[in-house]
Amino acid sequence: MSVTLPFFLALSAILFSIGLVGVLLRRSPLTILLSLEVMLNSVNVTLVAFSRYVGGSDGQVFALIVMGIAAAEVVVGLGLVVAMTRRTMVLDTDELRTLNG
Amino acid sequence: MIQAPSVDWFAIAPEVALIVGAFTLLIVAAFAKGHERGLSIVLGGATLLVSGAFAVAAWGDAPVLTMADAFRVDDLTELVRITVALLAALVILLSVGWPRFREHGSEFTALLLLVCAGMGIVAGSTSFVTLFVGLELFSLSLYVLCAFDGKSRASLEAGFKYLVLGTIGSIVLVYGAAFLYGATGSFMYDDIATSLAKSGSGDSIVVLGTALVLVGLLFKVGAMPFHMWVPDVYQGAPTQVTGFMAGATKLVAFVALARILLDALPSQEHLWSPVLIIAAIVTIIGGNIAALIQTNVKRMIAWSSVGAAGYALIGIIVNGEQGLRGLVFYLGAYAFTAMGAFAVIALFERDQARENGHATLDGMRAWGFSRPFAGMAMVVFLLAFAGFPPTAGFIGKFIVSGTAVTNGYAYLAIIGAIGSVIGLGYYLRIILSLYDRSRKTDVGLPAAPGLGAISLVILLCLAVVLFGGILPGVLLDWSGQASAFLAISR
Repeated sequence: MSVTLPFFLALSAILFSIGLVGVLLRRSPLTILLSLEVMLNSVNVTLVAFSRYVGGSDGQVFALIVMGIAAAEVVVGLGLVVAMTRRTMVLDTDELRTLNG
Repeated sequence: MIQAPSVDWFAIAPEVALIVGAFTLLIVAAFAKGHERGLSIVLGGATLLVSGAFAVAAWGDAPVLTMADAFRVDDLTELVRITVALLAALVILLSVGWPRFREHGSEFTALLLLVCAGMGIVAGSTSFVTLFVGLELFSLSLYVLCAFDGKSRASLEAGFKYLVLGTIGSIVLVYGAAFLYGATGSFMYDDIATSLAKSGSGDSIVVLGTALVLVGLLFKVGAMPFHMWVPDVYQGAPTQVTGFMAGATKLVAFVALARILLDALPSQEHLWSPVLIIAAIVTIIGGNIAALIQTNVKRMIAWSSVGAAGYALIGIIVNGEQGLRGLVFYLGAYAFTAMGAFAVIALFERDQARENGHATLDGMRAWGFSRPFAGMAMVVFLLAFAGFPPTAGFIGKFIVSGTAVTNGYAYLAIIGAIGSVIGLGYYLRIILSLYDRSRKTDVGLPAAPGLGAISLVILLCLAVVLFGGILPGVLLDWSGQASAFLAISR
């Protein structure tokens, strides 16, 4: 049995769902950032798989760009988490309730 | 051997100027401690002026495709560049008296310039790759700007929530782009459109891709049911940043939405049109009803801006020359109205700096008597939100609703009118609170820090809102000229 396109799409769909569930259910900001990365990587799997399927390298180049941007996004996210810790905010998103209504 | 694509430097000069300006400012400020504020104002202002001047110089020129055809400079791109640069200049003016700006003005201004650059890139993108890079450039900078008031928990919380939800929106958008790439073999809008027109659109991968792209874009424009980040972020962010987001981010997100739907996915109109109609109805009604029960004025206007996204959606649904012109005019007018309203709130917060400074309905009681000009300006801005003549908001809503009726979407115009009536309810609550006679005092307020600059911003926004309402001809021509470049293939 050879591994074909649908397998990769299924893998990426599973990764995407795991990431989304993680963002929605986890409470620690760090785990949420981690889950966002899992989601972004599910996109990369799709891009590279389709790139092989379609032919040409556009999809792989885009996957590299997505990786670069994902790194930048984690830097900003971690910076915000550090700032929140400095303000002695508890690292639990259930406690992020100053803005609510 | 891969050839490097040729670059038309004049076409991308506004973005280059902004990025160079941002880094120059950061480097210079590192060596000139103690002049943070002056440097930021001078260098930031000069950069925006240069960038805006390049955009104005190219206004009316024939469209240019550059960067391997992935970036398109036409009048719509120029209009977005000019509007965003103007709004950013107003943000710098509003920040003059802000304590954080005195300490960290250069970082704030540099991030603001990068936001403008990213918005220009998004407005001109004709490929999902350019779109994603520009989108993340401005979003990542905006996340930091939202959290910039490091002393306030609300600001940090807003920044983090915006980061998480904004990133989910971006990821869903690229996930959809990946599926469209799989179906068509390209990230370019026009290649996708030609390929889809040839192959038909029943393919499940195409449907999935279209759906995901649509969800990602509705996230970005803040339409229901993907609006949940808007109230929290708008309330927690520094007020001048909120004003910028309400206008500029909405304008740019809608330009991106229109370009993708009309340039890349015109063959899928039977799919996205019903989705947008439902989203518009839910957004207009839901946004305005949710605003009714708010007590914080910033949050109230945030909900009303969710509702405003619904009116703009009508412009895309109606489509065609008329609808798109209405869309651009409405969003442009909305940007200056929102900026003006948030400038008034910023002045109120400055006045209340010693107390908690929260702009609640209760806290703002009778404040209109102490600051007569700002109070009256706020009344005009609120009437513009509600769509009363003689303001630009009236013309915008009038055109959007009028074209909806003539194109067979009369029920959308009726929904819009119902939304406006509900809106009037809470706009009147703000006005009644501002001019509450029972709390009237004769004690004048002392000059707030940066009072002159804030008043100037309010005056400029007021001028635009009234000019657009009384003599809309010029602005309508500009909107029409810019929106003519949407859906060029039809």
